[in-house]
Amino acid sequence: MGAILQNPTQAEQDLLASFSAGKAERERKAAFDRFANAGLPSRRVESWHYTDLRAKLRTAPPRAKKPDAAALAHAKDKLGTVDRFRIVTVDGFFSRELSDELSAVPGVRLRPLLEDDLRLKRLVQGAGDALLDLNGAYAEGGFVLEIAPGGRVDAVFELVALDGGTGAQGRFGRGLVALGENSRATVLETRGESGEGFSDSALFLSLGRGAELDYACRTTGGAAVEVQTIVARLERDARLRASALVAGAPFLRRQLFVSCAGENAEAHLSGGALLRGREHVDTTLTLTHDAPSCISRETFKYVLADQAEGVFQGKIVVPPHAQKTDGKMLCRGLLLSDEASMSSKPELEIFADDVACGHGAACARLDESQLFYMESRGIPRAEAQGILVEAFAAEAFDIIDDEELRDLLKLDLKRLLGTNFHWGAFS
Amino acid sequence: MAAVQETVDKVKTLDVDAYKYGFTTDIESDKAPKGLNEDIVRFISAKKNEPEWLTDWRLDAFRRWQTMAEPKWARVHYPPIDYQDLYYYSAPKTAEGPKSLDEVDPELLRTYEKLGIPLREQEILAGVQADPNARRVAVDAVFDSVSVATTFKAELAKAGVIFCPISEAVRTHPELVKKYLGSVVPVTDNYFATLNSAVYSDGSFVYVPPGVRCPMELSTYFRINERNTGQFERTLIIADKGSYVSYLEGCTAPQRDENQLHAAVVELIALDDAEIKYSTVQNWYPGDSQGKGGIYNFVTKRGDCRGDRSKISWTQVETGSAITWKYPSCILRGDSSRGEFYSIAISNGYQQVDSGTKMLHLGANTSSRVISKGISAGHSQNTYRGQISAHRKARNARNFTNCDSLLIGNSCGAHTVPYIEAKNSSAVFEHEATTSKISDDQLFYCMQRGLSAEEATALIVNGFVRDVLQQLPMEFAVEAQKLIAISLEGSVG
Repeated sequence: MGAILQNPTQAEQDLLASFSAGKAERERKAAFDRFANAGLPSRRVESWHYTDLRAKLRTAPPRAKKPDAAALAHAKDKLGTVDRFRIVTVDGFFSRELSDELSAVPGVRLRPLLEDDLRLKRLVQGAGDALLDLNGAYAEGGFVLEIAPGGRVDAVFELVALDGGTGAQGRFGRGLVALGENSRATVLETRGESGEGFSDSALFLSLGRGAELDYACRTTGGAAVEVQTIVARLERDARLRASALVAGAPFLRRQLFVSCAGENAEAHLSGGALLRGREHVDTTLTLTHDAPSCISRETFKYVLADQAEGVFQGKIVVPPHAQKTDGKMLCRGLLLSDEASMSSKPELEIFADDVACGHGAACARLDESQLFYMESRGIPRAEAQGILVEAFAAEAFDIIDDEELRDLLKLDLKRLLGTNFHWGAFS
Repeated sequence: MAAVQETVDKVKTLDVDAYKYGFTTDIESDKAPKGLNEDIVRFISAKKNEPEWLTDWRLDAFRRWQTMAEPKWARVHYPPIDYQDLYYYSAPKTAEGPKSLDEVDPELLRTYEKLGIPLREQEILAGVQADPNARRVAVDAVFDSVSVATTFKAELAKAGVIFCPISEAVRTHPELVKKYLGSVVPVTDNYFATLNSAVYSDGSFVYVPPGVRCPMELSTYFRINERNTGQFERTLIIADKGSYVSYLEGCTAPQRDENQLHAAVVELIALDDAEIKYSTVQNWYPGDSQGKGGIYNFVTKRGDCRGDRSKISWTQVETGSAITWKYPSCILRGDSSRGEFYSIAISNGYQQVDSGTKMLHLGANTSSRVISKGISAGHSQNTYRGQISAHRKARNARNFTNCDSLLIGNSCGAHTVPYIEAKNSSAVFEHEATTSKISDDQLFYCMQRGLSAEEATALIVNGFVRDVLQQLPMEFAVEAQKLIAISLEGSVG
């Protein structure tokens, strides 16, 4: 073991102690060694400036085992019936039994993930983060969803992450969605694990030349401490539109590493988060323009009530060879309570001169004049607030091209605001 | 358009290698031995005839400094500094302080003449000396570490304004120095501020009494002259209730091969209804076209809006230094206080700039405004790093930030790292940043009307930074415009 950590915390000791790698698993060992050297990130790590995971995660719960029949039954109860192709993971393990049969769908292949997958290796190299390494060290039973070159699937794929009802555990889900040349797909990820334990999941998106992907992650609830990592790589002319809806996650860190690796690729990223109570949601993204003439757009919206803490860190990186880059990033926080806080750090790192890059960040409360306007037209104050908040957050989902997915997100937002949201906070 | 034509002419006659102010003055200097230890700190303190409390204050700072580590978070790279290989004190050799300008070493006066400092009263501004209503500039000239002459003293004294070297203020106004020194930038604030607290040599002290509007712009020139002399200035400005003062600072330094270290500390204190305007034109030697030599500038500048309705405004034009590490900040403590930061940072050659500001909103109804214009050319790296934060009690805090970067050439970099932290819902923060190059359309438009590529670039850059130039006092605005053109020389075409 290459552990050289100084004064490891209990959680770090727990995490380091349970590692064992098979002979053939070089990648896994390498990931573990990198984590063992870095440890859990604290505020001292610049990219974790506002989320002190080392202090938050006191002890690491035991690692979840491959789900048994009882766990699968528990998970199955939570699955409703929907008109989507479902790919189900339980406690981070891919479950063929609960997933839909996809072998009959032309151009689509669903299979277990192998660590020596070349696409995966390349994606991992492009990121570099302690929690991604931790996932790499411990994730077992991942899946690969492949869309063949030229494949066009109209239906929505849904990745469903569930727990097996086994209580506080450490879950390490891992999946790869690979789109071949000129293929197109729509993927919805639904994360609704129980509010216990620790989850460190990773999803890899590989977009071949000219491929197009609509992706949205819906997180309602989640582990007590949850880290979601998304690593995406776009080849030439590829289009990625990735959005996220977050509500009810007690402590969530979403990190995105997106690389426009081929000329003329386009990445649109967005997110809408509704926070209340003492929830903490951190979105940190690094968008690297690694080729000329790529376009990127980011829009992130936070609605913060009670004592919630919102964090947004976004970095656009433009190396010298990425001329003609066009990047715009926007982050907005809507503070509904005096005790809520919003921290944002939009960064630009630019080494090429022929670029147009910009970012904007703003935070404020609801505009009194807008409220007044609506009240003067007979809309009760609480309702007017609801309309304004919904309009504010819904903008984040406009980037999604697939109508079904976009409507689904907006409907979810409406439902969350109507039932779950604590309106008393600001009326 | 006269100014623009002038800039263009300047560009033609100058070259990056031929730094305009790269000459050295040959006068003897009184130096402390190389290196840093408690004895050197005591030596500096003794040289200044300082009271015991100040010597102890320095020694305390030195002991703390020894336990600290150099900060590494900025985007600047330089070989490790050997703090034992520097001189920490050097003073022009005059047995006693000069009583009038006639006693000042004529060699020194000629140096200032080359720099264009209006040291003598009748040379305030060419062409306007006959006009009794002309704006006047008082100069507290700093030659290496000791203030050699202070002008306009009598007139300032009439208004009750105290403007003198800080070493003198320690003797004449110990109660003010004792009360305010280190109250904005604590001794242990950061590595370089602590070093400065231990070994600071001299600097300016300004006290403006209640209700007084300082009758003239106060100005100081810094200049690094002696080989291998680290210069550690300490400036302390106090604007008492309802007063106003405008302070100008400008720097030039001679050409050197070794890197020179500069770690200054500037503390501003504005009490109720007071206003301080602090302007800087910084033109230190940036190193030659290969990136050799040049000044290392690690400065801690901070203003404390301690009183209600007080205001502190920073304006800076940064064209020099091999490395700039500088974040003029405002602590908005008083209710309804206001902080402003206007900056032009230009980097060329192999310069590295990591600069920005901090606006800490603590009081209610506080507001701040940040306008930062970064221009990178050549192989330089230019980073804006800023923090805006609103405390829970800072009701109705308001901030507007705008940082724009302009890139000239494809081997330079421009980076923006803002931290925006709102901890209450009534805070309204807006931040926007853009990075772009000079558009081909604009260049084409200008050149189509007969301007050369260089002229067109100078014109467009002048327009890009206009928002900030307008904030400078008149005396500096002209000089700053010239500097911008000189700094960008060689970066076009």
